Amino acid sequence: MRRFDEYHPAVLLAYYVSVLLFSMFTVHPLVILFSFTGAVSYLFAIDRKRRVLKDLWFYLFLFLLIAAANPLVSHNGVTPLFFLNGQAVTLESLLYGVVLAFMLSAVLAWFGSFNRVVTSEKILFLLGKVSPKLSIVLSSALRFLPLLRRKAGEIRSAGKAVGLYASESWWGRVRSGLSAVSALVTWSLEQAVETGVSMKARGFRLKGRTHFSAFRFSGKDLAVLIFILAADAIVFTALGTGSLQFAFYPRIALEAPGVLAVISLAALLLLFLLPAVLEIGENIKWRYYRRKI
Amino acid sequence: MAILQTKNLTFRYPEEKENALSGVTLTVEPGEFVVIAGASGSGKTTLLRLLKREIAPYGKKTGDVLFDGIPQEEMEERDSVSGIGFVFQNPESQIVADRVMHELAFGMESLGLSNGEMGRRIAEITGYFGIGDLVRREVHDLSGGEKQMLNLASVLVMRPKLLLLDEPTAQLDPIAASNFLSTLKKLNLETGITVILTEHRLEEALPIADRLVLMDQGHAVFDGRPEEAARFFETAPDHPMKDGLPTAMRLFGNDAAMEGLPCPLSVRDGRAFLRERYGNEVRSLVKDAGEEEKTPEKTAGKEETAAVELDRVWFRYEKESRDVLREASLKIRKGEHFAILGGNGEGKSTALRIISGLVKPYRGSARLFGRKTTELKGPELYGKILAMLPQDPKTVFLKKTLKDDLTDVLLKNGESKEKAGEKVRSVAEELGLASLFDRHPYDLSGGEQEKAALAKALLKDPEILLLDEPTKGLDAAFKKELSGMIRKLTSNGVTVVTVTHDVEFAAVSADRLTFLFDGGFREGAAPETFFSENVFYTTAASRISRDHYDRAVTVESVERLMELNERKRAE
Repeated sequence: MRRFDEYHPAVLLAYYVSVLLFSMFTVHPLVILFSFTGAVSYLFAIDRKRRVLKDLWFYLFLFLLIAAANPLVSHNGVTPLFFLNGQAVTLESLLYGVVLAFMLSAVLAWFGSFNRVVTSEKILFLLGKVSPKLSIVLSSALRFLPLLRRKAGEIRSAGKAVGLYASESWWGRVRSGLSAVSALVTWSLEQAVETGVSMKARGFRLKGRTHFSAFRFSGKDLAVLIFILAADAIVFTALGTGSLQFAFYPRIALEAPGVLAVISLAALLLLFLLPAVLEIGENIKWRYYRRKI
Repeated sequence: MAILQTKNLTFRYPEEKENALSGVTLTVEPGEFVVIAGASGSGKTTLLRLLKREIAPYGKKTGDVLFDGIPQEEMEERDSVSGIGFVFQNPESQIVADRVMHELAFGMESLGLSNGEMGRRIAEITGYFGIGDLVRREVHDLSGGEKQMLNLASVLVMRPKLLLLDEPTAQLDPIAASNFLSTLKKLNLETGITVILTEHRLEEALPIADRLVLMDQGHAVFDGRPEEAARFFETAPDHPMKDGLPTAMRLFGNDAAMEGLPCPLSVRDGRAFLRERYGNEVRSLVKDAGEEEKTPEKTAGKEETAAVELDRVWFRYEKESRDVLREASLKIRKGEHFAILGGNGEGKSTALRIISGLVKPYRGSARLFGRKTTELKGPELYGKILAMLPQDPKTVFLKKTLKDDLTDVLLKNGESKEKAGEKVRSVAEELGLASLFDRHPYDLSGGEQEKAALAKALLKDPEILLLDEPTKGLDAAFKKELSGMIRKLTSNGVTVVTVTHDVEFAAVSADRLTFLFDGGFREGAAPETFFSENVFYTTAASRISRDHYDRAVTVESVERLMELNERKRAE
């Protein structure tokens, strides 16, 4: 086993597409709950707890906002809890709001780990498969951003220390700010021309460009990819046949789930928990191996 | 067969009246290490770029360039791209990708190599250069020296036969620069790759070169072994390029050349030559010749007014980062040129930023003429008291022509148009910039940009001028000029503080200097004292004359001692 983020970018992409799709296109409370649990526990596994908790406070705020807002605007449902301005606030719409809030938090948490796992390198790799040239353009953009930020700082302090922005008036400051921006643009153009020459010198115009990557697709990648695709197949079948449907309105339908529904729920649980399980398993193994060092 | 030939190569940029190159004929054999030297504007970069078709400048070209016997125009693009590698001056702008690994792969991707082949070549080159630990890093985290190494490696993975380098060490600190040059020599010796290098830093480049080509106004005026260049300078003793030669060569005078002695290139050979040819009855300029040592007398009376004072300053950039300065104290007198030397990352530029009030120490204080920088307001501090020139002069240019750029400073300050124009004209004339008024500041040469930035700072008549690495990437002629400008300023009472890596410049130009190390300043001293006490971190002149003469740290003082001893011998 490997840590989740060490799998092939294509596997990671397939994974994130699947979990995001399933989290966004069902309102089945169990699915959403699984998704939320999986996303948050993976975040806890890869990041410092304090940072995750800080994020979670934001989710919680959003969560309460949505959970509370839904019943105020949607008056569907048959079980009134109380009346506000002559409108019923129903149990069904309150629960629906709660599920929506969980869904949104889950999706945000998935994006949170996506940002950390699918690094620019991996995106470039995937893009390189489609178009090597596009990939290199994106790569140089990524290179240029920190450079631009640094230069902007340099231009500001250089101008200040040479006395270009000595004017204290409001208008003077706006003007000096603008001229700093224009200096930054001039500098960027100059830089871009030089980079262009360097690209030409190394044959950017030649036909038949390839894309280099240090990623190799191994047996383990294949195993996980097959697992993901199998889970996808099951869940899509269930979605297609309506087995995973869940109705909040007019009243919450609590029926015994069919066989397909049970299987697909199990598959979803495994799918959502996969990164956290791989990560935690690897942490335990690492502790064991470390004792041998 | 020659790997590279130019036949009567002549080139003119569009809308220029003069040729940038006239009739350059060169033949380079495989495995040669050629250094092309010349003042800025002598056409050496133009020549180098014309050798690689893909990046040749636009303009009118006549004559031929042959690579491996094939005319440039008839080459397959693929062969030209991979066969001739080019490393540019600016380590930053030639990098394309965001990560080191991807940058290394860039050229090979263009050639359409397979993934396996690329991986193998990357492993090989990083192993050879010992930069394996950089591979996973993002390029913006690398130092200048590491970036330039990366640029060299990314060219070499394409397996060129000929390597062209355009002043590759100009933007590097001395240690990174000599590292880079010795890597080049190693490559040349161990793989037989042909190297053509343009350089200002001849002190280190010439001893490793097989051949020197001197460019002057578009002509190749000298082409031969570096030792033989002394002959050329016999015929042109006042040639501006002479100041750029290695110290040992500069000391090798006309007399010695007449006697048919071999010209020394390195410090080692220079020492031997000096001892063999010149006596040392007169050991020091101070005692025997009765000449005055300039520094103590010049500044003794100015003890009471500290123009700049750092009082037990502590500084770090972030709460959690390390201290850059630790209880650093410094006193700079009014009207002196004070230089701060020090290794890379020791906080020299930070010290300058603290003096200028751009950043504030968390403990201790910075004072200008006795007043704390924290108490000085922007308009007074930057409008009247001080001005600082950043390392990259381009960062201060805001307008489309030099004239507008300079005038704008004063107009913004609320001066009338006429007055501003007059002031700009007088400052520009002083610095020799008037003929460049209509040019875009970015189109000026490096030295001209430095001067233009200096002019900008001087427009407001600052009492303190701070210079951050003013000689970076500039040739000997400019350094000499800058020295003169600084001298003029200090004699008018302006205090100049320079942060520099350039020991040769500091030795010639500074009144006093100090070394920044481990967060604190060593005690300030006159260059003669400072450099003659050092054995390693000192000027080449001092290393050559050590034990033979006392306190001779500049070429001029060694030359004078040589002359005095000659006279004595003649008596």
